[in-house]
Amino acid sequence: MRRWLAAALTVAFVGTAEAAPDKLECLAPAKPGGGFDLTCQLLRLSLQNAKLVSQPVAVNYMEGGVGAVAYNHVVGTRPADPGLVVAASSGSALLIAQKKFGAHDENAVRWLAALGADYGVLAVSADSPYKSLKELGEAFKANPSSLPVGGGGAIGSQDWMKAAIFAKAVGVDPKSMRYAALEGGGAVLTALQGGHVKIGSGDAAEMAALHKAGQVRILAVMSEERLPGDLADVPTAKEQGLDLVWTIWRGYYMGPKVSDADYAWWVDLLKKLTATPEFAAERQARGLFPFTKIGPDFVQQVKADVARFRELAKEAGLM
Amino acid sequence: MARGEGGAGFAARVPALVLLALALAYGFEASRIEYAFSSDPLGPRAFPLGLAGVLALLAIAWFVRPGPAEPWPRGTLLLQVVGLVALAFLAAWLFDRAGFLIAMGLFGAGVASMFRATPLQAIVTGVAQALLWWLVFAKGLRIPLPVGSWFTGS
Amino acid sequence: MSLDYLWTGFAVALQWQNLLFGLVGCFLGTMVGALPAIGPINGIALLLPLAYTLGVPAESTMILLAGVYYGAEYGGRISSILLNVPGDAGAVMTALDGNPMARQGRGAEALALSGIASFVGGMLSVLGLTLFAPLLGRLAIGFGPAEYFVLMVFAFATLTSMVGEQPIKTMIGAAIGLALTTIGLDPTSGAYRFTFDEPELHDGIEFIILVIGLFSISEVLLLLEQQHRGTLQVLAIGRGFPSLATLRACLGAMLRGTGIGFVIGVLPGTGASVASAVSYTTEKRLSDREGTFGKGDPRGLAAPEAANNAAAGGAFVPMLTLGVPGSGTTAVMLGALLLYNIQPGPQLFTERPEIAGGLVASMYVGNLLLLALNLPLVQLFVRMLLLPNWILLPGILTLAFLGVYSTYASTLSIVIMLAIGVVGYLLRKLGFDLAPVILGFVLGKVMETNLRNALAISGGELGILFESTICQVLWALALLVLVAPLLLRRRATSS
Repeated sequence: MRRWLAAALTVAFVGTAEAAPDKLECLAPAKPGGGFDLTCQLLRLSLQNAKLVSQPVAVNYMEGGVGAVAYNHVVGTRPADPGLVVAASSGSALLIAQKKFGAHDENAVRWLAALGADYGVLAVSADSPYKSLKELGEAFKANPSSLPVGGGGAIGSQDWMKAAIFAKAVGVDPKSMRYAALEGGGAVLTALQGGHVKIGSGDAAEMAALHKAGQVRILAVMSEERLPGDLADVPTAKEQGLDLVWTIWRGYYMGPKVSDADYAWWVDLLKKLTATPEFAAERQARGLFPFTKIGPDFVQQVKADVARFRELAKEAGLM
Repeated sequence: MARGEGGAGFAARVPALVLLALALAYGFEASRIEYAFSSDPLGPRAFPLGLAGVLALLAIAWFVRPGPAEPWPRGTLLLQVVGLVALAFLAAWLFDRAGFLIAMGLFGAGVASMFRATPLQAIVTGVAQALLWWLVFAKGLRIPLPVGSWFTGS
Repeated sequence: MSLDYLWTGFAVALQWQNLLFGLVGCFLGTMVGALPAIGPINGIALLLPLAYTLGVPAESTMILLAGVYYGAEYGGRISSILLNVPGDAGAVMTALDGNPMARQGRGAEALALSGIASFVGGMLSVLGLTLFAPLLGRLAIGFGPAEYFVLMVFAFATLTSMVGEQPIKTMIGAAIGLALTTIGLDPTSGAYRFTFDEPELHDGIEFIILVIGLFSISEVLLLLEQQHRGTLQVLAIGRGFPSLATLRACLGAMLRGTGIGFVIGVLPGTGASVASAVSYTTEKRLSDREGTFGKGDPRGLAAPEAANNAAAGGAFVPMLTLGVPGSGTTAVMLGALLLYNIQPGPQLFTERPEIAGGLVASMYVGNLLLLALNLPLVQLFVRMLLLPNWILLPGILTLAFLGVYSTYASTLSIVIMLAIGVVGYLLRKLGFDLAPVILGFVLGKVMETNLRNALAISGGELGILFESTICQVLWALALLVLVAPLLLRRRATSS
């Protein structure tokens, strides 16, 4: 769903360094209820609870092309809006790397910050004979076609990529995977439980509850260190000898012509915000793990990610 | 309802030819879909290509037996139908530029007068409905509606 | 599973403030449903942050949102019946017989009948949810790509009932609907199909844009012609209530619609639009001996109305038992639970019975409230028909613009909607029905995606489509639907 305040309303107000923009808006480039909505709600609720700004952040929606429409919209129509941030994720970087984001590349906007992250996981059903990633990897290498993989996105999506780097790491050609592109993470969980696919590729937060309830078994989290909470007993892929890391950061970008002063205002605000206990509570409530990169750090992260994804896509034969 | 069965003239068959052309264009585009690879044996082209074939066959069948259809509007009626469509596209064009209130006010008044409102009735219904729906959506449902880029200068 | 949670739930749902929340939700839902193109998701997305910010407790919020969700299913039929302009995705089939009824001066009766059918579908599906939720959860899990594909084969088998006097045009309509689903991102290979480098087309043609364009715009153009020719009818509103004989005649249709709608609603991969489509085509296939369907047969109204409400209830099954959303709207409600830090899933019934039970109990209460709310409102709604066209039609067109814009916020989407509207007008002039286009569109994507996923899993072997019991049952049902009317006819002639 895409809605926006009339583009120009805000253009008239060119903020100064100290002054907050007149209107704060977080644009979620999707329908309500998805990951981008969650990213905007994190900003809205934590700013509200920490009482750092006097006015609420309005959350609006602009569905289309997994964020491509909003990206074009910001670059083309609202490039200098000081109060507008747009939700993005590592998935956006992956699309940019594959040139699926329209005409613009990663340098077309000002990347603001990432305020949390989720991590890739590989899971099997609760009654699967495989108890560790190592066992799964051996079986997969021996006979990839006996273990169909399910993910919540098409070939080239994050879920496919997670499975592909696993395949590559155990010596299987990603192209020979029997991969079913299902309709979102929920469908992966039901397909795993129903035995329609044998390996599920997904996100930690989404799968944690069913792992805890014993309905699926997460074999590895694709993070540098073990994750806190329900998944504390799940070893990382690295611990099991496979160097697989997939960080799904959730962050924001701004228009390309936003002034340095306005950008600095936001950087400053988010630095203050991320130090508050209210923010930590909201981040946890949204199912996100700590991952804070603000300003130049984040710009570097995005550029490194796009470069890495471009490399991965080439290796996997996607481009 | 006019009958166009059997001995229908060529004019009744033109739509079938248009559909055939569209089916072929669709099939041609389908054959050019670019993709790296697909994990299923069918791939992204098979389904649309098959459909294009089916559509082409159906278009030919339709050409042979056009079946009954309603007569097309002529004269002033044709002008009115085209006028209403043009007005709708104009309203869409104005929507961002002149804003919701003006675009829909004009559109509403235009449509009302086509449906035999007096000029006064047309203006009142256009203005009143634009305001009413703006209140319901922008204020009630909080869905932001365009104010008009012409007035805000971007 | 014991039903203790439900008693807890009724204790929660019957508290006066929760009754009030339910009533407010039902009323707002009816209203957003009644506006063409504005669905429950808009209402819920609006109310959720509001309720959370105001500190409304979780169980009350869920009751409020469930009311909106249910209310919208009731409200969606109003403009379908009265104006031939569907209010939301689930109400497209309602127009097929509902609008002819209104044109025959039975508008009030049609509204009342659809309210009753909605009540039957809604109530029985909550009962089904209460009694069989865990079992149904297992059924939902049993559906993989192969099973969904065969389900679509079954749906297409029922679609043969739509073949009327002009079979070629019916088939062309369905093929056009199928072709429209191929626009956008191919969900399997990730390729962009027919998008012409336009990001607005990456997600394809949205169902609601298709529905608004095809129905609203073409309807207004046709009315303009009828006015010019002087054939424009002044519609009578008629008396308010269906006769007992009509209700008795519709009972079977309602029960079958409920059954079909509920099962299809339970499956996470299909929703209210598929449910109402399949129930309508099945009912036509089974009951339409005199060829009255599509010409104002009350059974053709009762079946899809019962089905879309039953599907709305069924969609809660995967959400409550598996923690997986069963539809777009339940996805938002799932988000609502997460907002309150509540993890949906089977443990919800034991760990938070006031939420799971309150939600289920509120559905019983909500359906009763909606029936009580809707029957008296019939007389009010039906008066819409008394408005002169120069007031009504600008309203329909403005809402068509708003419906598209509020969802996709782009004027290109409006232009696409208008273009589809012109095509819809041309098709209707050429003697096409619009229903096959909608049916092809609703079923096409599910069919292609699941066939290809099934073949991806099997490595190209077709055996996977016949392997499971569910597949075999569905193939058998598809055959039955194709053959049954022939057998029935033979029996009728031989006796």
